[in-house]
Amino acid sequence: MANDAPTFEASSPSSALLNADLRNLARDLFDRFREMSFDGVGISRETYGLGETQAIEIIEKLGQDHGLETRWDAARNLIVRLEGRDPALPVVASGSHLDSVPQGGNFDGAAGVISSLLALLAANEKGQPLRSMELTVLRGEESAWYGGPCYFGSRAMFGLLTDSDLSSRHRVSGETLEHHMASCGVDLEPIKAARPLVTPDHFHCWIELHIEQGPVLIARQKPVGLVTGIRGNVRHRRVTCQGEAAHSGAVPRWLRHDAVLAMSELLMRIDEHWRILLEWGEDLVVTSGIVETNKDEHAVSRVPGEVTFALEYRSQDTKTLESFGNLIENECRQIGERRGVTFDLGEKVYTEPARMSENVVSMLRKAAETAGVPCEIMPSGAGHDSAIFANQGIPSAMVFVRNDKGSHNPHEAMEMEDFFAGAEVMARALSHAANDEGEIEA
Amino acid sequence: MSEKTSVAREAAELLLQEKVVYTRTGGDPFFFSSGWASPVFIDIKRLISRPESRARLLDLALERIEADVGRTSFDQIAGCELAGVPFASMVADRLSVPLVVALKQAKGFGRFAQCEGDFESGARTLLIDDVTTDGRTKTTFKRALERAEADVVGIFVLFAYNIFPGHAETIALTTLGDVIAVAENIGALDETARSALEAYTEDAATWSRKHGGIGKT
Ligand SMILES: [Zn+2]
Repeated sequence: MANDAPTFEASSPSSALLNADLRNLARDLFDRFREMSFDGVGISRETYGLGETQAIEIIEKLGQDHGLETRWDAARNLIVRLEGRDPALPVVASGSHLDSVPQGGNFDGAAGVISSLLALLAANEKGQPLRSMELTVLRGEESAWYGGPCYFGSRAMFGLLTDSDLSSRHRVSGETLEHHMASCGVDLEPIKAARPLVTPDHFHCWIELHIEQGPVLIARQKPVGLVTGIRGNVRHRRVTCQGEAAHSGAVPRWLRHDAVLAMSELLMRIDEHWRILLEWGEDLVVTSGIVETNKDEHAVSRVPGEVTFALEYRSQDTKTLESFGNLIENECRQIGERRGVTFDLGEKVYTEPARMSENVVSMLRKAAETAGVPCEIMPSGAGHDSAIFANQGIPSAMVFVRNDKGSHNPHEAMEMEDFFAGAEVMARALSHAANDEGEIEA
Repeated sequence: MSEKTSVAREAAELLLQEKVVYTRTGGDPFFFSSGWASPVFIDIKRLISRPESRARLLDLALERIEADVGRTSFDQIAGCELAGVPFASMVADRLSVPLVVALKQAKGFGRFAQCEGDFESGARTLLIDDVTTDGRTKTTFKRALERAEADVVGIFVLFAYNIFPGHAETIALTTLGDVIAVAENIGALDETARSALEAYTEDAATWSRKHGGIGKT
């Protein structure tokens, strides 16, 4: 167990959905994924790349070996299906991604795919469920390879890929996403036409298990988290503050239009607003991760005439993002007037926040209770494919598994016991949903 | 001398007696935050530490407010962050009316983002600050209150330079002109200081420009 976290009373093997065979299968799978994708430092499975395809094929083969149906959609997402007694009913779906960042960890994505497979196999052993159950292995979740907004596989499913996505370039090969998708056998025709490959009413609900990428579960000493919402974000990659360059000794304060001081004031104002908004209970994080004065012009003895910087803010709440955006524009105007500078916020890239379904979360909470798994109700700071599902109106939720060293690095530290606790909770919830006639409200 | 003038002169005399009128005729002038250069600087907020003169100043301020605004024409007092707040508090307390604080900058969003306190929308509000130079900051506070849906019926300051262009409409208890007039009567300023102040009040923009400050708003 990580840290000095108290151990929890895991349900006895006899009552657990995930029996010893399934647990061994999961351990095997993690090992195989690690072996095939180890790059000397960490795990590398490129978005729409060969390693990703091979990892997905392992899941395909396993599904077939266990008598499940498999198929690839036009975007080359893999769907593994356990047919229900009434195949016409909307399906109970789960899944995650199998690509990784360069030199990433073995659990980010894979934990969700493997736990979904376990859930299908466990349900199958109990006899055919009422509703069909589907595992979807989504392609291209990580933004590391192409930059910009990612979730290519899930967005393609719902006809949401844009020309600018398709023409974005791979950071190593320099080829476009379209090129690499074609190499993986993607049928680009419906995708370019932004035609959905599946409609939201195909789904009864969607659940994704994922390792936690923050420190909350470690701090709260809980093995499992249930996610209430996924933060959206607004990104300005390049904000420019334009003042007036001047001699640092000769020009008095009131005649200066110092771009760096103006930017600093803006950032401190933003920080102050942020503090207040947290006091009011709003969900918000703000970051300015890049700040640059112009190398060709800047000097110790020169009042800076220009500075560029990045600005990113995230919230679970669309309204908060909107109001905060207005606030920033306002501050830019006021500080600009006062200091005789101009702020140009540049391009604004928006990723919508997503609310998880209260009903699916409460289903998971009940499953955790019966499985004897302590869990924490929490938001997700990082983005996930599940946001795309939720914003399609599909009742969705996520299960987080405690993980010690963050993600997107080779030191991800998920304890297998924690993984099985999370997988058990998800399997129970999925199995419950698959045998329930009632509809779920998003 | 009118009632109004005598009140203004009495306040000016108080400022001189309390030595919060500073002059500089040689070397670097004073610079206000707005960029104006000035040979005179009134640090009226020092008076909050002197209970007797503070009380006297307050008596005069209330007299002036009664005469120029009228007690029945406002529902509440607003103080400007920061130096306006103690004076506004004392006025509100003497009159037993509600008090709010108008902030320099908004904190967060919503109606009260730039105000502390609470009031009904449409509350008639008298805005109070210690000093005004060119009135620009008062506009900020007025906007802050209006954003909170207050009806700002007047702006009252204890001291106004009253010499800069672009001056917002305010009621001042006393002005630089009053200070100069009283100083002359009681011999409070030496000749150099007095003539510098006179030159300044005649054409503040030119004086400021000549001494390295801004020349217009
Ligand atoms: Zn992931």
